[in-house]
Amino acid sequence: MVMTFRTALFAAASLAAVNLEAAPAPPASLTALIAAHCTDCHGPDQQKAGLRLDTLGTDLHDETVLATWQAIGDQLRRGDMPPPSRTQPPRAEVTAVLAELQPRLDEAYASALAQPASPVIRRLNRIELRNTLRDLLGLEQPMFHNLGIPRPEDANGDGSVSRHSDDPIREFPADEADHGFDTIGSRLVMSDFLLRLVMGAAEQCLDLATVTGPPPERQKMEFTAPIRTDGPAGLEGLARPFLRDCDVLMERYREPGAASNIGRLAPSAIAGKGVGTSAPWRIRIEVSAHHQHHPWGELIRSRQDEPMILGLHLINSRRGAYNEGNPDTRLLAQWPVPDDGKRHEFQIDAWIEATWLPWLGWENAPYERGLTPEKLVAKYRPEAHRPPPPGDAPEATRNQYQQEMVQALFGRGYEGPHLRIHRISLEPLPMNWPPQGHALIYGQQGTEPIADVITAFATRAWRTPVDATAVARFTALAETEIARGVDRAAALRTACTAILASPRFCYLQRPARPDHYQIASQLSYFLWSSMPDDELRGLAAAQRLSDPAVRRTQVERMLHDPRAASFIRRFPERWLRLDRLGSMPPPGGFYFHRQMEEQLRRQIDAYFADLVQRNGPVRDLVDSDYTYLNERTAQWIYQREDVWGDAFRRVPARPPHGGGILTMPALMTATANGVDTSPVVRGVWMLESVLGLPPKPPPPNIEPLSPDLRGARTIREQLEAHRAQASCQTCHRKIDPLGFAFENFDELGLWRTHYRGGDQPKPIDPASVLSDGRPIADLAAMKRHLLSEEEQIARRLTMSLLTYAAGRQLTPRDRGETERILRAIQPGGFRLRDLIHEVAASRIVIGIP
Amino acid sequence: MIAVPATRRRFLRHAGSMLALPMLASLGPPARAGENQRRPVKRFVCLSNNYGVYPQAFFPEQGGHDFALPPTLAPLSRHRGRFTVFSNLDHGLQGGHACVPSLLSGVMPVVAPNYPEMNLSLDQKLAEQNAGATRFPSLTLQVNDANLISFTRTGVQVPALDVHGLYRALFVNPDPANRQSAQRRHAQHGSILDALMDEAKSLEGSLTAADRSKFREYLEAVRGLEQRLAQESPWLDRPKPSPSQPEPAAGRGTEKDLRAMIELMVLAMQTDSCRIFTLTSGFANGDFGLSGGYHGFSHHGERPAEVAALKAIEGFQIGMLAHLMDLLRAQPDPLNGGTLLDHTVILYGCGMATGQHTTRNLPLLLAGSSFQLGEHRVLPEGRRERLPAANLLLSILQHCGVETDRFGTSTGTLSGLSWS
Repeated sequence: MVMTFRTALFAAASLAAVNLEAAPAPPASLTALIAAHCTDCHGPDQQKAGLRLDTLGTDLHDETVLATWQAIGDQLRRGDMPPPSRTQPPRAEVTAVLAELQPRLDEAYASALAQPASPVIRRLNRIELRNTLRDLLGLEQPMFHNLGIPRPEDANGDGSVSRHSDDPIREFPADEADHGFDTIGSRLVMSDFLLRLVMGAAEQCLDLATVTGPPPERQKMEFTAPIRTDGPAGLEGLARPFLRDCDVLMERYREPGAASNIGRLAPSAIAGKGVGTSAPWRIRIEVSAHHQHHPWGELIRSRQDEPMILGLHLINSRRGAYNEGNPDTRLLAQWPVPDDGKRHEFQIDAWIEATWLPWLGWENAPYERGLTPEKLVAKYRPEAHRPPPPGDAPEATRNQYQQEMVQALFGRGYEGPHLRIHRISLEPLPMNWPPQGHALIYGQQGTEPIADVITAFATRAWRTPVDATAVARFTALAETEIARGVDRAAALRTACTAILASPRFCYLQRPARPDHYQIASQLSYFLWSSMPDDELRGLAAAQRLSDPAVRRTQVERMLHDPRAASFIRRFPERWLRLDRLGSMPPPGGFYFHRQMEEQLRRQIDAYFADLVQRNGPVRDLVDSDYTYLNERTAQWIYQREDVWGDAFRRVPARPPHGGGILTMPALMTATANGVDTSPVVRGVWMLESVLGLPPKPPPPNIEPLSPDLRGARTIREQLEAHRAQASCQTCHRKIDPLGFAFENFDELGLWRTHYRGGDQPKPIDPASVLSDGRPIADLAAMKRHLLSEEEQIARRLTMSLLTYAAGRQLTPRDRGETERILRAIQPGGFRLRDLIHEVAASRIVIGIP
Repeated sequence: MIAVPATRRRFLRHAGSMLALPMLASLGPPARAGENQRRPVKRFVCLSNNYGVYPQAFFPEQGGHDFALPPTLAPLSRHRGRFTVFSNLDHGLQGGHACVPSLLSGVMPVVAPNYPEMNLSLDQKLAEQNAGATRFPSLTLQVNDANLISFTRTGVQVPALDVHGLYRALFVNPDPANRQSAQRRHAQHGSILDALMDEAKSLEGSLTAADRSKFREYLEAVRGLEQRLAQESPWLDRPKPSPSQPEPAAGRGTEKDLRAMIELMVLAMQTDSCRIFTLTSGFANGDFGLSGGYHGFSHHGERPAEVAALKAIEGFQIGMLAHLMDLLRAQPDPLNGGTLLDHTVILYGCGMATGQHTTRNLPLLLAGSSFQLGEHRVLPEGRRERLPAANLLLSILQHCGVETDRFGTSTGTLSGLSWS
């Protein structure tokens, strides 16, 4: 041990000595080029941007010097400098000089790698805390399925909060973020206020994990037709008395917005109660589909080009049975059902909370609001039709008339497309008793020695083998409690609360010498925002995580695990600043009533998850010939009628939105302020988040621009005046063009051609000229331009992933590793899953080469 | 830096000498808890909104004492001489809505780590001084909008109560079983913190220097929570005052809710349950017969309907300020003598000047207490001569007896603002 250490020390010392001798320096050709082209503005007489290049240091081991030369190289490569107004060096000369510079930079980066990256201790952020408590204690409650932060529900869209959440982190303040990233150790703060919240969350979760008594008795529940005994309104309800042999779904369930259960089918026997026991259940559905082709197609639009899709959802009956107004609902599965009239069985296993129950809906069912039986009868059974009684006729007369029409329509059966639900059964699946979390807190038998239970709990909670003296402290805490007359269970809960509030739980440590357990945690917090599972822990215990092949297999496995949903949601949110979504929500309107914000997030989830899953190229983030939509986003934002159902699915992209992620409404809303848009905000966002070329912050004392909503001056006219000033022009010539191309998207991501307001709305002009003089006519041209920047976008994405995963901001020295990764994934065309593998294997993230 | 005693008991013994701990309930009524504090006891109320004001209707045209009351300030006509409006004060920040949280410190949350007290807000600074003297060191309140202006010295935003929450906090005693379990929980948390402190110290030794400086936050957090528990525990046994009015129904629109909140605040002062308040009010669809959203109105683009809506909302806020002053003026101050208004500093304002995202020339209005008021103070406008609004905050702090010569982004106290 001592020998090893001394050897390592010696090696480090000699390495340092060698480096001192051969400190790489920038090539003379570059110095000459700078003298010829740059020092007029960045020299003895002028130091624009505070930069003087004739007296720059040349020791590339110095981080500041290295960063400056890298920046010079970047600017030359991109052609950003010298500015267009100046004589340009011949491109061939620049290329040659850069070719000389690169190996020297590489050498400097390589020697930087030999020095250990500075360890960071970092607090778990609130999402990681909730996920870790969930996985540690095996908690299955619905709030542990949350991917984000529970927001107070604002059903009226007027800022008045109608309901609070039971999420353990509901009271937590927003985590401190650095350029959007909420995983930065140096940035995340601990305080007495937060420590108290952590203790409260720990207590709540320990209580949730605690069970009493024997395992609950559960019976198989079977519901055969009629599953639903109370008819809904609409055609389906009217048809019910005539189609008794089974439950029929013939209308589409509606998205949130009212209180009706049209098109939703759940067992009436448990509709207001739920399944009764929180436990794992096997749900089986027996269903047949009939008559895809609608005989009444002229009046009822239905899908002819895709199979009928049955959706299985779970819903909390405590919030209004299975009404569409109930927001506590979750899509569990979707199954296409062929219209062969035969019975098909589907099944899925799921945890169902006691008060929740399953409901079925036909995702892409035909639906016509306001279609009455008499209209159908008039067209398809004219012989049975007679005109309706006058509106002021007695109710009995009107009912009589409706009955007649319904009889005419359904009395001889029903030949339209529909799904028949023959059976729903709920079978109890075996569950551990006591459950995992309970056994961990109190011991499997509940009689084990306190010290053993606490050691086991701490080992699991702290994600690493524990030190006996550290555990002794918590054992002593429990024993003192018992001595004070507290019972064993309460004393153990106290000790467990302390363990969960302790720094070894709340912080991720990165010691200078990484061990296998740390690698396991780095990987799991990167891809799951949670603790390592049994398999990772086993590999750490077996010292196998230093093997790159083992790690690669694990990363593959982890990306396929449902817990990866946390990465899919959180990484794009941080990288593209979608955390801003919801901070300035559009006032009122469909955005609230249709609960759009969550839909917008899910659209990004779906698109990004697909890219990760199929190892798609980075280019597809910019543009693609497909996109992901569900009915709500399609109808309300894309103004498309061809996507039916609640699940997001891959559909062909169409103008004006096109494909890619950048024009999605989540991004357009997050880069607006809920009321109007600004090309400056979107331009800065493009430069910072997408291209990774952040502009300098604006000088102080600049009045913000505000569009004149009376329509007198457009934002373009104001910006043109603004750009006329030389001091503004330097940055705004880079910022504004990138923003203008998106001006056709309003603050919700809807396409528009004119600004709102005024008697004569001003037309929107998306054209602009890039800082290098290239004209950009419109959004399509902007996407083409961005595709030509593929490598730069991939670079920014790589750096974002490294930052997110490593939990620290990158330093100039880390640029070498970024470039290495880029070169590794370039041959494959910058593919996302390849990139994730490279990042997960990077020493910046896991600490070993 | 105070050397840290090794155990919680020792710590509390130690802390006892530097904290103003309340006397135990058996030793006297709660109101006397403040007796060992300096006199006069000062109170502070900040009324704010999140969208600034429509400036043309807020700032008087003339400076000095003889100014015509602009429309938004009209409700204050009966309090002329008891308030001052400031022009050309701001925090010198940019960032539109992101500046709203800087109202009471001058520091935006994103840059807080660069300041010695982070973005500690004025109310929380006062609450620290006041800790233990009243049941609630401070109350952070909101009506139909988020209160974004209260931050602890570790940069954590203090969660806010609504009308319902405030009433329950002030007057509703937990049932005996709950009280007992609250006491048990307190004791249990004390033991947990003992273990955590030992654990943290033993861990500290194994950290690198860089990590150790970051980890200091955790040690501070444990200590801070120890203090907080020590301050709270005497209040657990002490019954809450009986309310003189039933619980107001909430959710009836901003007009009713804000009025109810103001009146509860006065009750909290009368019962000496709390002395430090921030209250942010907003707008609910339907208030004043208006349909829309506050944020939408604030981007008025000079359209008459939106401007009128803003004036209605802001005028009502000022009306409620006048109502607060009326109530405080009518109540004798049990601690200091005189009226409650004589010893209550009231600040009205917003960290963003207008809904158009400007942050120059914040709307700031000071009222109450023994400040010499009654004018429209037009401060220097030029870029170099401008004064930071944090100077006003520092003046308020000193007025309230906090001995400090710096707060947030202040460069000194606000010259010409004196008090008796």
